Amino acid sequence: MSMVVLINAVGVVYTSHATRKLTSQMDHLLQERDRLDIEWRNLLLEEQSKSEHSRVTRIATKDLKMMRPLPKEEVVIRLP
Amino acid sequence: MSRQAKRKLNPELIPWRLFVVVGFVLLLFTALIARAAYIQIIEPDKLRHESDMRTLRTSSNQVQRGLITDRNGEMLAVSVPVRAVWADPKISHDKDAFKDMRRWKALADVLHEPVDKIVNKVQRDPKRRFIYLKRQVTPAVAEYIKQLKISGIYLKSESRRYYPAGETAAQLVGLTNIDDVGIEGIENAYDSWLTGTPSKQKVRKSRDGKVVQRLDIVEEGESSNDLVLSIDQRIQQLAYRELKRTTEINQATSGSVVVLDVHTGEVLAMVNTPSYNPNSRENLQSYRMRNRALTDTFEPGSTVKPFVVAAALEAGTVERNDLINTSPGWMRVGGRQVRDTINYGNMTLDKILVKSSNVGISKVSLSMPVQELLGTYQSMGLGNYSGINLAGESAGLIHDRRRWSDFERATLSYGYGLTATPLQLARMYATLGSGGVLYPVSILKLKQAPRGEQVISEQTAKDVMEMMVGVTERGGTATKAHIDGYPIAGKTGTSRKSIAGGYGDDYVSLFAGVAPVHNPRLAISIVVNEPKGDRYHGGDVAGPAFAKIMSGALQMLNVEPLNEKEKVELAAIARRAE
Repeated sequence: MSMVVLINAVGVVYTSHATRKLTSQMDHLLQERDRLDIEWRNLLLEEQSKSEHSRVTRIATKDLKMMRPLPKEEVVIRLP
Repeated sequence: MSRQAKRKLNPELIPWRLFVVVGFVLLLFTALIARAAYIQIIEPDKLRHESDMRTLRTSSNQVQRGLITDRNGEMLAVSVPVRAVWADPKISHDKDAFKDMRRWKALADVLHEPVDKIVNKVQRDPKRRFIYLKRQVTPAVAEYIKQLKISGIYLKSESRRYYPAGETAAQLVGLTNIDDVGIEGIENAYDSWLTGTPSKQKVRKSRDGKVVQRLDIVEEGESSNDLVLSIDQRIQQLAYRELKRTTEINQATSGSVVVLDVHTGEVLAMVNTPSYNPNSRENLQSYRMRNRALTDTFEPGSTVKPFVVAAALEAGTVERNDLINTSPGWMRVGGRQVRDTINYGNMTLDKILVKSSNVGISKVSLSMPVQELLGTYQSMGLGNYSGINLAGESAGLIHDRRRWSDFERATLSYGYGLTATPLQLARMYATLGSGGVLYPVSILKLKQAPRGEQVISEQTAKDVMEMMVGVTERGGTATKAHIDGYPIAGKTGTSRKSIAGGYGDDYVSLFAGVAPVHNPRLAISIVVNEPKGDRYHGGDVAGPAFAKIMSGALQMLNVEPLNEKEKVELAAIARRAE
């Protein structure tokens, strides 16, 4: 009987330790998520400013000498 | 020697010593157990309280304001976490933080402010507990300030809103104030949807600051929601660029463009000039912040003429192929004169629209009861809110009275005596394009087309569109709005601005239209307010911008240009107006 109580007590200690370890790990991951979210937002801003339409248009027309075809110059290709 | 060893081998038990020692040890054990029992069972609360004091913490998570994106997922507003630097002067004084001025100098440098000013702020009133030193500093600067370790200087999380679209969508998307509350535009209208509230949770932390146990939630938070607008940022950008150029070339005071999807009533672009940069708030001027496409009204001038024809066709007072005699180029109505620039003689309905004849359209208007005309105007959304649900929208003005003089009935037909917003004008044209179905305007992306209301018959809408094809062809009033490849049904308008006691010298130049005629997709209205150049006619001022925006937008939406066969058919329709 006393052995059972003893083993049980050790078991309780062990599981609560395991729980705490997992909780701490979860907290760590949540912090990581927040950090990644912040990084994502900043990258998003960078992407937006790099892919901004007027910037792309400027680079396309000035640097790459591209131009938009007029509607009458468009060729329509139909996929069978 | 041997006697001594022998005595050692047989020690004698002295009973009283044993009892004393055993009794003492037992007593110790009992005391320990008693104490343990006392702590554990009889009075555990005190120590528990002590433990909780050291380990329990309330943690709250920061919720960022929701994103605003366009219909293709491009960002229009993003929140990024930043920090606020604040001071607790009482702590600074108590801990004697002013001893090491080098730290304060470093703090002042990184905040770009004179060191005296900052120190003075904190020193002035030692009893205060909270002063903002600087808001919205970047995480890098915040980390630097943390390393300075000045007593009484703390950091606080907050967020800053960035608007990647800048001035192109400034009035529409709007602004938040420094406390992240929407104060203008969409930010204001959908503030509660975009705002989340942080949740608060009780946690147990270990000595090194790690969370080891999550206890109950103190306050249930609400995560923020993102918002997807119906705007297509590519079209928005194009429209803004063209409108800005048009406004500058014509030295106009302001201008607006609205692009609507004909089949759903979604707003694809809504731009205004003059605009402002929502990312730098130093010098905001309220006249730049108004979303003129919704708030400003004007008399729509000749742009309403197609709807007079539609009303008359619906009422049955004219037929599709009727000829109307406009000679001698002017007519007298109730003691006032209505005139055309030249005498056009007998005109078809097509030609009345193509040449924008005031006499012709007045005759059409006078042929039907005024209630028919007003009813058509109203059923197409004039004098009513569009359903876009943004603050400051104007419904325009359309008089509802019993008695109208003949002259008023004539002027109503060429767009005087009523006012409309650019959005309403675009919506009227969109109704023609959708085959007479009026849709509520939406600024949010829709999953499916809403239920529209059939306000004029499909045949009438189609006929009126065909009549307008000639407007941008040779001989029409807006050859500059012509697009090779996409036939458009559009109409120019030039209206004098009314001032107290009559009409002044300033004009409003307009162009509105739908394209492509054979398979309508977009309706666009362009309003240029008070052009100061030599040209003020709608076809000259707003026409070129219309062509640029419409052809660019249709190309972006992958709409197929006309093929040769369709071109021939279209030419036949246009020729009928000649």
